[in-house]
Amino acid sequence: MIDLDDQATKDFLHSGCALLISTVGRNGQPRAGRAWGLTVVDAEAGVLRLLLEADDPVTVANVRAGNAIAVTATCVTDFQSIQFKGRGLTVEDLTPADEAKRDQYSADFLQDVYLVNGYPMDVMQRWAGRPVVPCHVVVDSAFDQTPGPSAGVAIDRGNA
Amino acid sequence: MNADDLGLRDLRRCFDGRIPAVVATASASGVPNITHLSLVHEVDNERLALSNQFMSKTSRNVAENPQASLLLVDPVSFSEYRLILRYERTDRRGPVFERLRDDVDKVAALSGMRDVFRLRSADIFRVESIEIVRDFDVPPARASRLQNAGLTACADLAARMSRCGDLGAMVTVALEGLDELLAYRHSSMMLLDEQGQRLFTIASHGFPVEGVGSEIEVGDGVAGAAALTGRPVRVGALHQMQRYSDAVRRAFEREGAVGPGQDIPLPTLDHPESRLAAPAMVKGELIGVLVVESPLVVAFDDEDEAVLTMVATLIAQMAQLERAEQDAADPPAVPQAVEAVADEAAEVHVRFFPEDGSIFLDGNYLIRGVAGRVLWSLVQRHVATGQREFANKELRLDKSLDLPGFRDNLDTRLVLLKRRLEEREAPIRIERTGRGRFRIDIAGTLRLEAHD
Repeated sequence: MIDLDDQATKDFLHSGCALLISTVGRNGQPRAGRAWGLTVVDAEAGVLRLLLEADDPVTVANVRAGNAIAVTATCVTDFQSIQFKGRGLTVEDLTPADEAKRDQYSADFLQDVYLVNGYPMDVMQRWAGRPVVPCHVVVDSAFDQTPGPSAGVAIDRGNA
Repeated sequence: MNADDLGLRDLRRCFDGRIPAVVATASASGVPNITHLSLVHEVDNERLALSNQFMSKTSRNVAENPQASLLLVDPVSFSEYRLILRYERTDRRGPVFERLRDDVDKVAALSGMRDVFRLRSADIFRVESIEIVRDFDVPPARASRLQNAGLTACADLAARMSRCGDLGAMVTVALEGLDELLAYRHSSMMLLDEQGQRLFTIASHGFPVEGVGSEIEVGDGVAGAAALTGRPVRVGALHQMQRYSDAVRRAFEREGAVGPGQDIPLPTLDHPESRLAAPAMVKGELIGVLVVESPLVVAFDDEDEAVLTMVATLIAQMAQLERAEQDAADPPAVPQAVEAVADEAAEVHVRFFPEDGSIFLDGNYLIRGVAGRVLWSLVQRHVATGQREFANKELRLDKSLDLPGFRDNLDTRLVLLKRRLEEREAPIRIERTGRGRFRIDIAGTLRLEAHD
């Protein structure tokens, strides 16, 4: 498993990279979603705090139930991607720090998208300020998800 | 918009590649996987095809568990949709596969990865439901180019082109007319080389750098793909596709499957978003490729393909006509010595490298290949005999040019050389003096130097 205490890894995960979430329901149905901020809470234990979309009750319920989760972080500018696998732990109460985190993440993410694609910022701002629900997940494995022949290769401390 | 009323046809803009789709799958044991997708195609109003180049985990998952979840974003309104999919089959041939393969080839061509980046299969999914994640208004659509300019503009351009006496003039008139009459602000014309393996830029319009003489391999980039397939090729989200293509290329470079790429100084905008290349063909044979660019995303559509194909065809016909005229031209007159050029004081230093035919004028790179060898032959003759008037036919007899015996493209090489000399404001110029004849003007005294 990748070293979550590594500063470069932390910087990447705390940046404006695109955050994709997949959970799985009891019937095996995967569900794709987005997160609006990620914080490494406990690097040693692999605990991440994710800001899920509040208007996606299925994903929130899957996390609350402790179901399996995949989290992919993709750099908007060069598609470098890491995918974590783990499971849901808890759904937390929203704090002012979470809202600040969401606002900062949204600004960073949309700015990166703007810089590389030049979409009108006023249109992209439609995505900013979404209601979020914080949750904790624990991850125990990481994979290179960058498009190309190495996609899916496990990342360990040695090859991160 | 009501989700119950939505069909895939209502989501068409989501499939143009500007914003990557996201697919989530899960293994039989319930381990999820989520990844970006470069290409999603609408098969019909109920089915989608996902390209499979590297999605080994996704493919393995749907073989075990056919359920999938897809996120799509409308690149105009930023509305987002979540689709529940069920895997049906995998196509490795047939029309859906072919369509996806064309698009994968476009991405591969952007970074010179045609040999390694290939579509393996097209995974076909049935759409079980469409959920609107967020719904926003769509700005009004812009009017098409032909609605603005009208068919009369096309006819006017064709008429202007038909009045041109040679290929060089016609290409200039075509590119300027595309801008003036039809608002294609940025365009270039590339011609196929004698071996049919490379395209070289003969003229450009509206770019920061003219790029005359720049080359690409057939198959590389949007223009190369149009040359390879003989069909128009357009990309409407060039920046996004280029970034994806670059990411894949870097991954292949790390694996050692491909070497570092070359920088090709083609005429291009600083931040192009859309590029359309139309093949110039006559008698079923490729002559070259006409290319237009725009800084706007998805700037070109089917109508633009039609307009550019028409203009490219006219240029191809002129190239063919010139070639036929050259073949029928009178034998060359015996070279006659002429008076030395006017400005004896200035020295023009011409360095030639036979290995690749490259020519440097006063220390500055000019051109290479056949065009370089042609110029070297001309200046050698001028220095030896004072000759300034030449016939194309006598050049064809010059074995040092290494021209193929059939369809040598010499005429277009001369047009290229003439334009390159003008672009570089060189002290040597070429002027056409009649059918199959031309003159070189030299502002100075030549000093020739060949490097073995």
